[in-house]
Amino acid sequence: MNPTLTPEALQRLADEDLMTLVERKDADAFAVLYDRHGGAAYSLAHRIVGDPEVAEDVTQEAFLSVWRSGARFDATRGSVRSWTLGIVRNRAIDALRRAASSAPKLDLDDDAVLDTKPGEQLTDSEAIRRETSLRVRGALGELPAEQSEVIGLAYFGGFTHSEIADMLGMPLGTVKGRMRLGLEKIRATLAERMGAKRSSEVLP
Amino acid sequence: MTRAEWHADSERLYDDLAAYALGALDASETAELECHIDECESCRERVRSLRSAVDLLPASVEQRTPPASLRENLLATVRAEATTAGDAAVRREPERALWWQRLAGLMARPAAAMTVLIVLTVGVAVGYLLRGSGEETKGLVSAMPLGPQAAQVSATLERHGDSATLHVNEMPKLDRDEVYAVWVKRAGVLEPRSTFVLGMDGSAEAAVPGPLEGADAVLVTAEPRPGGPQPTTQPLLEAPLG
Ligand SMILES: [Zn+2]
Repeated sequence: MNPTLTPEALQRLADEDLMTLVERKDADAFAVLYDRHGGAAYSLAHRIVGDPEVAEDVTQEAFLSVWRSGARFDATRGSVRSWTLGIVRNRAIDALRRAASSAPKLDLDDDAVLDTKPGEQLTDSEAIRRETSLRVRGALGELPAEQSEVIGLAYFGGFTHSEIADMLGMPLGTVKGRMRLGLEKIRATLAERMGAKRSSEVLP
Repeated sequence: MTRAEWHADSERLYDDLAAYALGALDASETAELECHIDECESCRERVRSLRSAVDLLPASVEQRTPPASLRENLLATVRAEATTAGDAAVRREPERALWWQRLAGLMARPAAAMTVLIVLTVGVAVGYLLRGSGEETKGLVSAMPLGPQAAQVSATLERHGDSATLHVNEMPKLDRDEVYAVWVKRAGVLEPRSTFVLGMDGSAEAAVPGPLEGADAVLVTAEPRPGGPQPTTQPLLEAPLG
């Protein structure tokens, strides 16, 4: 335990250090992590399930899973943020599949990377989050539609490559090839611009 | 397949790695490819690189403000679990006061009623736990491990009036999607009471909220999260009551 850590000190810790405290069941450290990533997590869940209440449930489930299985976080495999958002995505896709088995409603024309809406009244960190989002969206918008379509169906729709191939009437190889081209392009154009980790690395 | 066989058609392999990074392979394809990735540094590096692109996708969606109830419910649950997880002894007075203040605030909201109910029942047991050793403790019984998986488990049930605390050691590790569930057996029927997960050393303290009056035993099963109204697996532990 860290009985000496004030709330201000917690705010200054890196995500990875907060995770170490969360593994030791430090609820205050968990609150800081939630405040950093809860908005992005909820937005992702909302995008996938398309319903505010289900998105809230999904985000709650995902963060409780972070709290309860923090020990499974492996810093060598990625950031706390991407690990957390990965959990959110998986839970949201599960919720989507459960819902789809009773009432299927997925709009194939819904282009994940292009929908834009002006913000209302925002706090500073939210404004930054939204600005970042706009920049990412702008860059993703440069992708050929055929690539963003398969990426969106897989990531936000939870469809496998063979389901997508069936849906679009395309060979499997074409679907996977478009995924790869799209991801490589995002990585090349965006990773640098966003200053993401490992952006300078070159593919082997 | 050997590494050379995987890499014989490298275009196809790279396409598969992209689909994998996006989570678009089915379960068996994923498992097969992971066997190779585990042993191949160049594929691991390629997946890391593709993931850096995938990691940007969440930022591309419309950004929303989560409802305040989400944070409140989460933190109420987490603080209750932090206290039951065995940290009770080291939690400081002011924090405990804050915790109760938050709870009082929550109780004003009907929307949070479910969570408050859970927090309250756990909180009651925690209250007993915090009171320290001896005082008001009516009895300590050993729980019996049931079945071979639980052979090395040691567990005791500490009774305080009409609720109890279950202490377990060397419980079998849970899968990611499981929790341990605590049940109270009364007239042959199992009533759900609480759930818990293990610390890193395989131990845990679980609240067993009352009423225990007239009940026969406390049982523990492993359940898919978040636990349900009825057990779906055989009990691992049984502690007799009364
Ligand atoms: Zn390889």
